[in-house]
Amino acid sequence: MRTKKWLGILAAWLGLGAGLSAGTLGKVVPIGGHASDLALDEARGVLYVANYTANRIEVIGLADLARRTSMPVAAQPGSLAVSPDGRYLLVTHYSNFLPPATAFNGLTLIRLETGARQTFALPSPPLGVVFTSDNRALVATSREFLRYEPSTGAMTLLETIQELTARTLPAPPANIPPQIIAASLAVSRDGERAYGLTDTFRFRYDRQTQVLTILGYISDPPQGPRVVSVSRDGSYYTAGWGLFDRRGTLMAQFPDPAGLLHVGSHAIDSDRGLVYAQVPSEAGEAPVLMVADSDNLTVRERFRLPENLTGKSVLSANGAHMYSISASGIMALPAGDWERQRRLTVSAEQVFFQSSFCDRRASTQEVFLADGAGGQLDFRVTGATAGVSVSPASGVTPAGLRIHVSPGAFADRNGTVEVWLDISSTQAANVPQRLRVLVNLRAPDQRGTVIPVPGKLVDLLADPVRNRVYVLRQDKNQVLVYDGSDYHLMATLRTGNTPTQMALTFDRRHLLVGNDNSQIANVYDLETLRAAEPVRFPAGHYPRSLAASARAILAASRTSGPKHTIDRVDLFTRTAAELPTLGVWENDIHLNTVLTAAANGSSIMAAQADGYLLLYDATADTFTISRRDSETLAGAYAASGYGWFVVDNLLLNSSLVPVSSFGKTGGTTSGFAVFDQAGFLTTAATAASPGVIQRLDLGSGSGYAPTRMTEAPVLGTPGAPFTRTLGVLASRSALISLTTSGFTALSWDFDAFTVPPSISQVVNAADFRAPLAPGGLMAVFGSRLSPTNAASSEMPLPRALGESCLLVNGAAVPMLFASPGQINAQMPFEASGNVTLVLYTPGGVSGTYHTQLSPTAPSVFMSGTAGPLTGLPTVVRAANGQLVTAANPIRRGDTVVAYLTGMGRTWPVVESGAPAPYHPLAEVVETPVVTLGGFELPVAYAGLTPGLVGVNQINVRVPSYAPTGMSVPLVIQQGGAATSLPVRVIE
Amino acid sequence: MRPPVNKRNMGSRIWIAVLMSCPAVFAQGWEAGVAAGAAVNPSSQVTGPAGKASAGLAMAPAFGVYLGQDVTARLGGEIRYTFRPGDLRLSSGKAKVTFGGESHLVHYDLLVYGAARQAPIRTFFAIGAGARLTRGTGQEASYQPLMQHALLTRTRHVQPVASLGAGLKMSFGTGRTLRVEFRDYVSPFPVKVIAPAGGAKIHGWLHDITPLIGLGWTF
Repeated sequence: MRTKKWLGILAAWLGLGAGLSAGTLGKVVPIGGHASDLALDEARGVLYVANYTANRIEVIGLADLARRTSMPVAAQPGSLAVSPDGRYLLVTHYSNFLPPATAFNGLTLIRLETGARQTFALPSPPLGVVFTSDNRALVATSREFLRYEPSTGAMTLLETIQELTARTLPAPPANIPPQIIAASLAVSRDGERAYGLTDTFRFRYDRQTQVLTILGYISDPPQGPRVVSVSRDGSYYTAGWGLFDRRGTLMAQFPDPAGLLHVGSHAIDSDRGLVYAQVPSEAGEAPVLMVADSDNLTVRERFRLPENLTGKSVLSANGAHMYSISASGIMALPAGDWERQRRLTVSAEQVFFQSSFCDRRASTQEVFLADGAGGQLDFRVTGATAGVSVSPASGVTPAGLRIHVSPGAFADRNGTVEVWLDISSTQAANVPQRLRVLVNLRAPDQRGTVIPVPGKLVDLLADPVRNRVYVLRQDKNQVLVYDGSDYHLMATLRTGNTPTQMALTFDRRHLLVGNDNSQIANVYDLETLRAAEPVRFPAGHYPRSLAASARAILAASRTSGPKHTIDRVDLFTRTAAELPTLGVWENDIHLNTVLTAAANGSSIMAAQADGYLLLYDATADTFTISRRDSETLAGAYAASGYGWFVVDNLLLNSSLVPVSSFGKTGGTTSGFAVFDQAGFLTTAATAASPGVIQRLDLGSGSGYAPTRMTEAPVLGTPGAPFTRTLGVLASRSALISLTTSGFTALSWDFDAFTVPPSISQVVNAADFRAPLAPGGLMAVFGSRLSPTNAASSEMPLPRALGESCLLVNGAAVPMLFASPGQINAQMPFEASGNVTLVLYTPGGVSGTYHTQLSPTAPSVFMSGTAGPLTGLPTVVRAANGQLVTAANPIRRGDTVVAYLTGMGRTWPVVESGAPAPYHPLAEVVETPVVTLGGFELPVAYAGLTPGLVGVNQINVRVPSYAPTGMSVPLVIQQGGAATSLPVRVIE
Repeated sequence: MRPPVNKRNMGSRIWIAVLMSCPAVFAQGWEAGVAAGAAVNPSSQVTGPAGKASAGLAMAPAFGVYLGQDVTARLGGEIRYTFRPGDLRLSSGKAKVTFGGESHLVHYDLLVYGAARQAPIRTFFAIGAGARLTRGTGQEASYQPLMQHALLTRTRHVQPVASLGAGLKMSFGTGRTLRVEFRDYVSPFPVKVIAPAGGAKIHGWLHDITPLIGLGWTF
């Protein structure tokens, strides 16, 4: 019997650990009533659940999650708490019935050691109870806060409050305890601080000082779920959909909360720095448990729940297990072990394909699907479209998911096509992330190098004194800091929730970040790249846009009140305050307002989506201009240090009067970068089109040299119509634009290279003479062949290099090296006879160059060097591995290896651009004849050099009768072609 | 096509020929000894398109053994072997390059004495001929400094050598002799080992001036 019991317990926990229900996380334990509160008694291995409607306390065993017993209590147990010493269970009764029914509002004290009970009546309905570390209870009622001493039964009044609206019973149908009982309380694990949430205020009770602090609030939507969770030391807590610090500042909130009081829950795991939460969004969704970071609520993972959580959650002492009130009763979740649950993980967030005008061949990349538990999960991938396919589209993890892109399917499109792949699993408990596939298709005239960065990138700021660029990644609440010299990621800074815009302080020492779901602005020291104390904003103010002048730092804040405002930041005290007025105008701005400061700190412009413009004058320290010249404003915005401002395509003078408009080149403006008296503007028709960048003369207002970009800059959305996506590096070596796939680096002279290339000569790359053969390496000489020098060691060789590509008979060929005057490439094995060569560069397309191929054209590389000697034939003595020269002569009996190109086709066939195989060796079809001073040398091997592209080698042995001399002709003959070298031969 | 004759054994053939023609083999009053000293080689000039350079062998110790017999009171003969471990060297201006090398000399000399056999001190003049083997022993590399003038090569060259010299023999103790002498070994320049570069030419003969001290035993 005992064995059976333990087997049952084991089975139950195995089930819990595995998530139990297929495709969801957590085990539901129905209690036959509506639970209103729960308390964990790990010393006794039980969970007490207040069954509000059944008037009993359910005692659930933690080991097997089975109901051990039920303790009948007085009517409507609304909340309960276990004393830290484990001696008492205190239950409050919220039985606020209207006559003629009998109301009972009171307490039941249960001595857990003996089971003895005492019941006390209270003058007003009790809303919640917690025990503090001194084993005394804090009882909140609708009129007062009480301290209750269970050992003596003494009750003392702590504070009287303005009467809360205590809902009466009977309640409307389907109302459950969180909708009836208007408060929730929780205490830190150390029992030193208790926090509570009601409909109109939050409160904090400090046990040591015995001070109760009440913070009134107005919230829309309501602060649901009606749950409070407190960190281990009480330094922060979650209440409803918000995360607050000890002072009550909203550090972060779950975006777009539905505000339902009776749906959802959360629990803070301080040790792991996590919050486990179900906070339904306004959009509505199936029950999902989020695993979020406890500093800014960045969601790491989402698990499907078998049903909604509906109230308080508690964590076991080791954080491994979470127990929550749920629709059926309670739910047990293996929270601390979430990473090892059956969750489908994807190795990448996005996959970037780039298909140049040179190389439209299909390509494949692989991502890996795995089970977090290390097991097998079924998966299915949907969302593939024409040109983007996945293989396998379904299967079992672990698996490599090959994403195959056929650029030809996108016809003549240029820019970046975005395809979202949905990955699902019927067995996984989590909600797998979507995979973003980006296919960039590029024409010769499109400029810029794309650096792929996953995520939603919403703002870009180039540091004017450090050669860096700051990119705001909104979906992960991060500032990404990139080095401007090589674009490597220098640092990742954590922001508040939903960061919206960045600003530099006037002294350029600090970076400020505004957040749409945090009532703080983050501050970072740019020398150390570390977070500093944030700026706290007034309650209800979310700083969405910031700008710093020489005199003031201003923030355009979304507020939870009736109007949105401009606040002034005091960086010294790290606080902000709402400006009473904006000069002579009301402080009432549009929700979508952006601020930008002139580089010289003289002013800050505020551009509003409803067309209003404001100008803060730092000298006057007030707003001096407010005007409206259009019904709407959106797109790019910028301010120069010369008294010019730009919004969308409008150039405004220092009075914010439009003086000219730039051509949008058929698109929407996205970014504007100011450079002295000039500027750069980016536009795009859609996110999938190629963007356009043009230079602008701010003096004349004219734009020139519009140039297509590799992909479109990030465009505004209805929720965020203004965009800042373009910056100039401090080194002025490049422009950086936020674009569809990440960011794009454009060279400073992006519009300068517009003259087409010209091919003057094509020779073999070995001895630079005319004979060429299939598969051989060739050197193309001419002018403007490439805007930059570029070499590749990538295998197989790329078909485009340094923004140039070479076509032989219309097909791009593998390239090794590109420079303005020379390109080295491989003649395809498939080519023969008379062939045409055409070169594509960003400057245009060359004229057609004709040349004749021979089936074989052996040419020894004249690229050897020895000391100061260069141009030596690459003929090597095997004995010492050194080049044959007069000082290292060939000896009778030597084995000599000659490296050359142009020996034609091989068997087995090797694909053009691919390295020659080691096994089997690719031997030339046409065997060469090698003679030394007229004596034929036995050829041990003639074929491609393994591991190299287009390089042949011939191994010969020099017989003992070979003639000697200072200059003996070594002749290689193959087919009708021959090459000869004088070599020194000694005995 | 018939392969050409391998010349590798030419050196040993010459050695046998010299040995067979040696009168001392058939003589009486033998002396055997060892000698040591130094060899000095005045440089030879290399001229060519790249200019002038000097080539030769570096100064080095020399060691030898000899076996001889007085045929008459004032005439004798001896066969000698001398080992001369000297690097090959090439210089032009301040540039200088060396390459490991050594020489082996075998020759037969006629000795004409200034005093009779019983005299405690005997002066003598020597003249003879034989063969010289010059070998390059260094490591070859694709690049060698001054290779535009000549190439120091890891190979060997066997050439005839003439031996000219004079010295002093002193008897002491019982059957022991001490000799002080010098030799000038004259041979063609070993152009296989120090090969003139294309278009260049090495002028003159190779002289190895070698002062020696020897210790002999008569029997």
